[in-house]
Amino acid sequence: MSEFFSAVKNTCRKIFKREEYLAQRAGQISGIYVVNKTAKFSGTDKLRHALTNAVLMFSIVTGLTVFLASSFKLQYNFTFTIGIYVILATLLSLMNVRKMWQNIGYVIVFIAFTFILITFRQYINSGLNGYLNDFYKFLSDYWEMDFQKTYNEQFEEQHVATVTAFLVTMGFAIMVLLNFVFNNEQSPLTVFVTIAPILFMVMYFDAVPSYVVIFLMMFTIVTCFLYRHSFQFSMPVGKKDIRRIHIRHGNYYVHYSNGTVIAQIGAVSGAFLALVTVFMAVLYPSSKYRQNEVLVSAKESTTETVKQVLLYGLRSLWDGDGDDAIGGLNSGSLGQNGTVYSDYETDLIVTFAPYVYDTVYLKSFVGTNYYSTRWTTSFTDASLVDSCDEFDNAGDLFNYEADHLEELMETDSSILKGKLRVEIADPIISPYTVICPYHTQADFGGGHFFTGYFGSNDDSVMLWTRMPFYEGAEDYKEYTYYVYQDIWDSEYVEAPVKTEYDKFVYDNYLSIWGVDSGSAMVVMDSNNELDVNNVRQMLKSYCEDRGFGGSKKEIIAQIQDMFVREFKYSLNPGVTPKSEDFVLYFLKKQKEGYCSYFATSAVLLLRTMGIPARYAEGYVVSMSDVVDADILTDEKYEDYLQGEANVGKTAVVRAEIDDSRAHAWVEVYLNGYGWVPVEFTPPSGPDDDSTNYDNLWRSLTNFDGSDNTANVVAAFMNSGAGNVIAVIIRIIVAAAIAFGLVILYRFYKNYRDKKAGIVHFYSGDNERVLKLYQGMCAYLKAKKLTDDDNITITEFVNIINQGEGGEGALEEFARTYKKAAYSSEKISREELLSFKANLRAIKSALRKRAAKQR
Amino acid sequence: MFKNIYTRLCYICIFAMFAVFFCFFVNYFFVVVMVAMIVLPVVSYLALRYSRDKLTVAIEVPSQVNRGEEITVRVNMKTSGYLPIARTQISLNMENAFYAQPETYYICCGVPAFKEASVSLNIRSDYCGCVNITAGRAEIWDYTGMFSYKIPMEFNSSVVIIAQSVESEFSTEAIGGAGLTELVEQDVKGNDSSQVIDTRDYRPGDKPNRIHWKLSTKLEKLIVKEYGAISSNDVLVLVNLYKPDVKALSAKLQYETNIAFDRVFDAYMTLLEHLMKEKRPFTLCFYAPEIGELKREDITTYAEGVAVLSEMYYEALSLEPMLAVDLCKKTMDEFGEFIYICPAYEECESIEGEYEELFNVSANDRVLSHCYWIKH
Repeated sequence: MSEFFSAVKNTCRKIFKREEYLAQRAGQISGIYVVNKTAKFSGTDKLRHALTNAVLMFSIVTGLTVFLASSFKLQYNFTFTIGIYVILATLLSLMNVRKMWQNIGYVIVFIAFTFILITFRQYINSGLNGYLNDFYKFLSDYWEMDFQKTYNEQFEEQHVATVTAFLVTMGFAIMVLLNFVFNNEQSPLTVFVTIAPILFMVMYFDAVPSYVVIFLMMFTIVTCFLYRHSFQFSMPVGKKDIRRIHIRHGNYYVHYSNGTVIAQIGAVSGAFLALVTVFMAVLYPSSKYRQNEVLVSAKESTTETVKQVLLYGLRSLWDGDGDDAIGGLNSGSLGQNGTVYSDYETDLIVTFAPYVYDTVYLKSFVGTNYYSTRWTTSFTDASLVDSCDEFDNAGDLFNYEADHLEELMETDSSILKGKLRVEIADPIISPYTVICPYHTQADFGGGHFFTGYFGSNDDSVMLWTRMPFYEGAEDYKEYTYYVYQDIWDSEYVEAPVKTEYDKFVYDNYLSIWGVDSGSAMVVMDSNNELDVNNVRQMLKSYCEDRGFGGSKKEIIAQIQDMFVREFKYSLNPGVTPKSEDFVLYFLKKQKEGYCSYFATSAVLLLRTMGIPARYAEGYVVSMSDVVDADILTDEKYEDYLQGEANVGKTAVVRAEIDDSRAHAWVEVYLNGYGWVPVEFTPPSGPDDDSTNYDNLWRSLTNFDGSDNTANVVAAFMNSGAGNVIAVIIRIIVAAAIAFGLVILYRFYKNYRDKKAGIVHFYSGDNERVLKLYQGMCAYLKAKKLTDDDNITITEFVNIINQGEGGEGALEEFARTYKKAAYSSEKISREELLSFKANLRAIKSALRKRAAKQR
Repeated sequence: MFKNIYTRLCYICIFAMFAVFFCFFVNYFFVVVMVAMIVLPVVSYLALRYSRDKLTVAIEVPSQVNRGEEITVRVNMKTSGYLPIARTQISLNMENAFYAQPETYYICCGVPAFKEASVSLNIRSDYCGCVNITAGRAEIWDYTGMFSYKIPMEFNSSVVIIAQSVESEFSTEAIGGAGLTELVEQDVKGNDSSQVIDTRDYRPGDKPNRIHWKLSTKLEKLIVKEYGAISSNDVLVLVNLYKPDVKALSAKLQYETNIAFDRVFDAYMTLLEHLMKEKRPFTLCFYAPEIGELKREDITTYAEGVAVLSEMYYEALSLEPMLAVDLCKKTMDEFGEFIYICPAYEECESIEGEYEELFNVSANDRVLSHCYWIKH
């Protein structure tokens, strides 16, 4: 049986260790073997090698950091950063001088890095946010647009220090990666790939590095290339104390590493590149360099994509209907947009005469029934018209308020009549979309309304919106509108139900839940069915808990006040989980959101309190838009506004409205009057229209943005237990990642060694014997008994035999060494222990000899 | 050659890669990189040409080691130029003449400017004989690894691998006859023709088999031995140094044949030690194909016995078959009884007369070589 296993083992060896097998077979025939003795390289050599690597690391990281900082005009402390880089590069590279230092060093680096990241995470995160703020400031100038994208810097007053901390952290991380490269493969491609993301990011924005930066980056890459192709790259540490021997085509290639050569090649490389840089600076400086037009236009074709990625993240590339809204109108969709971004592109151009300091609302969509995931309607205007005597056709319905105000204007001077022109600039918005002010009076004489889905019908409006599409409107729409400036002080506010329309409104605009339940499962009862009553009940309880009550105006004020005090405006509230109702989740758990959230919740709360309300979407024109608008001096004010505005006579302005002005608000019904816009969205504070990332972890988890996990996690993390668990989880994750990388590296190394045919002749106790012998030789050299620590066993015996003592141990010592070095037999544990004992005896004898001589 | 092409292709690919990057990241940096990449090989090649004539290489090897011990081949390189040499590749061919299986080792290392680089390669030989070490050329490479120059160099040296004796108990008292003791006690110069009584410089006309090779190597001039007459009372030792051409055989058989041949010298060393311990000089014979007859060496000291190994190695370089039977018969006819050392594959079972095995050299229960007393 043992013969069988031996035969199997030999066969496997022939197949899987073919080079080693062939080498051994060749040795059996010729009798000549190479002895892979563990020759120690001198400490000076290793030190030179390590310091050269330190220079390379420092050079590339400094070049990259300086390039990044100078291009994006980052505010940071240059001297401190460079000083830290010098220290870190030296320490990291010196770790590789000895195997023990390497093993311990990487553990220390890992622990220190993790500790610093966790302990100072807020500081570093503030630095990251500070860097991003500087970066987006740069982008705003570069693309000549107002990004208004700010990141929350927790330590804003220490902006320079935090950005420095971030840059140092980033540089350190790159150095740790490159330390592997420089001490193992010296692959210039790997170095380039490591720095490429940052390099390309900066270069994309036409940043040209200074000559110093060019020199620093090129020095590392070119020197790496030279080292690799001169086979000078392998840092002799631990097992790599042996010479690199590989077998190719039956021949042995033995590579020796020389620290002096490494340092001198580095110097030659540096001198060469310095000359090249000076040569280029003199003969063809960067100021003379002009970009090729063809290449520039090729690059510009990618600009929009890059903008999209920078603004909306990578997901925007493949997720067109994703969970993020890119500004503009949402058409009543609720809860799926975790984040709203603006592209800051002009959607509308509005020409009008401002009449109020407040916001001017331009309505485009109205939602009548809440459906948890969207606003919709459950009745057609045809049915509405039929129900109410006030309306003969859909046009009457559309002009309800305006017609009334036109009559009132004859007696009430506070009523204004105006003209407002809307030009649609964004091709995404249909030219047939009506975006009109309150209260528009349209004659629609030239065209007709159509539903889009259901064909043309002069008496119908679209089923899914309350606003008509107007064929023939093209890109230009001019609206006549009326404004009742003091409506909230009028009798209509508390007027009783009078007209048919009043009744219709109270019958249809107080429902909490639409008739169609659809597929949204919000609050389930015991039979796992949608529990609409539960939603109503919960809202009612909510209003009771809050103590809402009183007149219409009072209730509106209470709800507005509640939103201001307890809720937060955010364009990044996260997506509503599918198992939750949009409004209930917002009111009870989320407590932050953008206009759709506040408007929808307000509508349901008002309806719960018996006030008819509906959801409206459109665009707003704020005072800041008016201030930034162009004044049209060639237009007559009186053509655009008749009546006495409370703000006095202004001018005709032409304002550009971008998608950040898309908005949702509430329409409250006033009996006998009609629908009046009411604002419930609280002001957003100093970070108006900005995207606010509270911490690094949240921004990372929000990268996917698929659900509201970020909020849940953030809430948990803020708790006491959460903090402890967070730290533990982070340590475990980091350790697992590091361990995985180590395993991957070992696999790769074994694969590479096999492929190169690198043979390791010794293993186990045999190698230990050889190492011990090597140590003994070093000891002899240290004691000046020999000039060379690379001596044969014969020389060793001669040296020991020169004096007295140790002979008995010496003979066995030599025998065991020869067995370990020359035979294919394995050293047993007893022999190893005996070897060690003999070694101690020999050392002791030498010490006694030395003492005697003194 | 192919390695050069491969490196050059890689370089061109890297250059092309940077050119592609330049298309998308239109930047002065890449212009400088590409200029540097164009200039770098040119500068590197010029540096190589500069360093080409400035390299000196010296190789040191020991003259003699015991079998199984390390042979340290030390290569010293120095450049008189101001630039370091990135990579020097020296091919060392090593061959044990007996086995005609050359091994080539390429020693690659850099040579620093203003300093000497010394590297050592440790090898060992598991067979006795002469390990001829030759270095045909040195090849130096430029910094990029794309260009190289071959520098001819002539280095030829030999390392004599000494066999080792084995432990065995046997007696040679009955061998050699009554006059043996007298012979041992005799120490008179000129009376014993088997002894080497003197050495002198080579004169034209001296027979090659009289050249004292060891001394000649040491003194770097040809030295010839002066013999006394052969005494009929001497012990005669015949060593069969025939080794068949085994290249056509399988590796296993080659190995077995080689090791058997190699252990002949172990047997010789064992006998030498034994006879010298008993203070019994002897005459060593072996068939020398060059002269077509048996060659004799008189051994009176252990050192001489070891020194003659070199001669055996050299003399045995051209191995021609002579059947063991014929060899023994010839020796018997000329000298009478003798001690016969042979590899296991050269046993002479069919020889006429008695023979007695004194000892054998074996390993793993397999006899590798024999030492017989062939009686008249």
